[in-house]
Amino acid sequence: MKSLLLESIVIFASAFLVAKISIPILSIRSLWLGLVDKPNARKIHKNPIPVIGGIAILIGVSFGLMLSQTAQELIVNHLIVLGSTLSIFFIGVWDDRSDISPKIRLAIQLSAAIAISLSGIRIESLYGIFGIESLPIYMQHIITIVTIVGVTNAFNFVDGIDGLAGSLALLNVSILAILFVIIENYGAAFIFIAFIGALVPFLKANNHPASIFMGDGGSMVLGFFTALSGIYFIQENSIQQSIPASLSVLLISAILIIPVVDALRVFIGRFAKGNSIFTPDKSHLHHLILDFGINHFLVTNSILLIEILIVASTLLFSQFFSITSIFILLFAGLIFITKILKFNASLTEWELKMKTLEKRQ
Amino acid sequence: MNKKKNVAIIGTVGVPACYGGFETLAEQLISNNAGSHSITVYCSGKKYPKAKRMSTYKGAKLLYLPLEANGIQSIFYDTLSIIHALFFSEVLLVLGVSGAWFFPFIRLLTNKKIIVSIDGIEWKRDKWNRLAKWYLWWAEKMAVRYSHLDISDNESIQDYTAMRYGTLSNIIEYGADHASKVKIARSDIKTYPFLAKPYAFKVCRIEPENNIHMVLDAFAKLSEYHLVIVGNWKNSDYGIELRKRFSNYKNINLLDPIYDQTQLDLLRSNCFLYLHGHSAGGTNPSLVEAMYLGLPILSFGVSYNRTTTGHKAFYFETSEEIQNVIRSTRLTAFKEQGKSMKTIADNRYTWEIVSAKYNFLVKKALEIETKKSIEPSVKSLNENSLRNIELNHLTQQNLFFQNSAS
Repeated sequence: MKSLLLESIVIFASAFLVAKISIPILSIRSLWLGLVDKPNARKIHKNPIPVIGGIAILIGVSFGLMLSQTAQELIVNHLIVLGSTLSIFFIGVWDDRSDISPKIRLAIQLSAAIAISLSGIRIESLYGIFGIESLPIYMQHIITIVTIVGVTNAFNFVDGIDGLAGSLALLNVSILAILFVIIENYGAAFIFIAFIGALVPFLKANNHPASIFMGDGGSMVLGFFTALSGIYFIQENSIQQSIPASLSVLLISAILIIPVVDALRVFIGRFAKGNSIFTPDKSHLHHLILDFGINHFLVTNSILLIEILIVASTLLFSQFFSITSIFILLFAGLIFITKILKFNASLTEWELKMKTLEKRQ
Repeated sequence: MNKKKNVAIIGTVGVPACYGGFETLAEQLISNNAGSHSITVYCSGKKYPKAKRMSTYKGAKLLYLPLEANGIQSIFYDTLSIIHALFFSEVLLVLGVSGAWFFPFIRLLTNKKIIVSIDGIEWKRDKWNRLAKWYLWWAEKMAVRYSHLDISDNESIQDYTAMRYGTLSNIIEYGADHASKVKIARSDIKTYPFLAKPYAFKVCRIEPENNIHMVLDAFAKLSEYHLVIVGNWKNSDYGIELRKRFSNYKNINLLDPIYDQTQLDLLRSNCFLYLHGHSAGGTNPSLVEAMYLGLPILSFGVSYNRTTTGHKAFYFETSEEIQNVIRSTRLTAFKEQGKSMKTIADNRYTWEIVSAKYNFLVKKALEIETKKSIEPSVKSLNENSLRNIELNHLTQQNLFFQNSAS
């Protein structure tokens, strides 16, 4: 136990330090690397910002893990995970450098997700939720691939205001670290502790006003890795069930649900208006909360708070209600909250419209 | 034999009128009742103490509720009035949207007719907190969607309802001929010394949206011109602060509210310029009254005021503009403008015209089934068929509110 704690501290500290040093070094080189974000009318920031956060985080994580034999053993046993995560990372960084067609991006994401699913990391069963137990193999593949690709992109969308994606990621990796400690998979736990270490200096630089961004490289990797780790956790836990299997599915869903539901809602909204789902607009969750007229800091914290509430209440309710009913409650609750937010957003939109109308001569 | 239909007037503080525009409207409607229908007015017991209550007034029946007509109690005030009226009246004339949440039930369960006046786009006003705005925003939608006829008191508001709801509002403005010109008597000059020389005048509720600070700021720099403002200074921090800040200027008089109609008319009919700073609320009764009195008008340039004054008044948006207009306009030019204001008021702002429009609406409400959409019927025709007979240009039309220059 003592040595585990010591190892955790060492991993955390080295990831922290390496990431901390990488940020200024990469920032200075960002122009040469071609990784700078220039402002346009739709974006909220005003100066060009280096988009090197994702690289800094991964470098920090890598150095942190170099010191842990346990983690390395785990990685060596799952080289496909390493390979596909790195390919998502590279396509993300390349997209940050020179915009790639969304179709190519999607193709790479699909290939990476297929690789993960084929390597054995799959959603194998719903463990009784909605009355469904083991899934037929083709269903396992489809659901796994859709989930991984979905979360990867959803997380990319969440990266809309300073500190949001980073804070959510920090919350998620912390929860995952705890979960892996509970099932005594220390290799995986160490990986997430390294992520925590690397994310802290990133967040410091990314909070409003941001001096770096994580870019698509950062957000896609975080989304991708969180999704596959969540699925891996469910599988590992189902053997000994330190946590009831159905609860494990619920918990993983709880931490992923905000970006996923947000992305779905935005897609449906854009489709309903007759636009391409890739058309940029201001309909994400953080845009809707911004319509209350509060600053970015409060918006980020509100969304974080919502996720904490969701995780805490799912844990609490699981003591009294069936997992299925909690799932239904969760979706209903999110739809309700979104309806209120959209109601407020339309009010704000009309308030602005009236200001222009009243100036008419 | 047909029993006379009854119209219930709901949502006002009550009659005899001593509060605001809706109340004056209610009193004028019962005064000008041609006799084609009977009227019941629901009043607030809180503003009419038991000793003074009457059961009828000018031929209308009066009923009292133990609630305030304004503020949050208005929701209950309006709702209870509506429910009671459903048993006794055929047409409900609802002034204000607080009770509009109930309209769908009226449409579903009864065959009573609803005419609603949505006042001046309440949800937009800064005086309300977010929760109140949510309610008013939603209630206005209920009011327009579920009433048989809705009334806007200003053309700009009719544009707004067309844009937001796709239906046509009926424009009925306000009457002003209850105001009258009062000549200055010697004794008046003793009470109000400023009457002896030219002075500019403003009367309104002391709220930031009425831009009193802007007007005061301008006259602080216009020391050669005298300004008199009548309002409820003590009721808000805004008012108290302003009064303190501007109490030392020799050319500015800040008076407390005057409830006597004749006294108020005395002060306003004799000014050389009437200042109107309202930035919200459609057609303001105080503005049309000033126009009817033939006063030259310098008004805040928001769309509603421009529409009310027929784009013929002087307008301002900043304190500098107030100063510019006053310094650069000759008294004769002001007087000319006052005459044109009077002409507009005589044509649009008399209670005879307004009451006639309301009476017509009541008749229309009794016959109407659904509200007409502003979409031209030609839009329901198949565009390809029209193209075949070379008439598809008919589908490309600008609606009335899309034609404004801006």
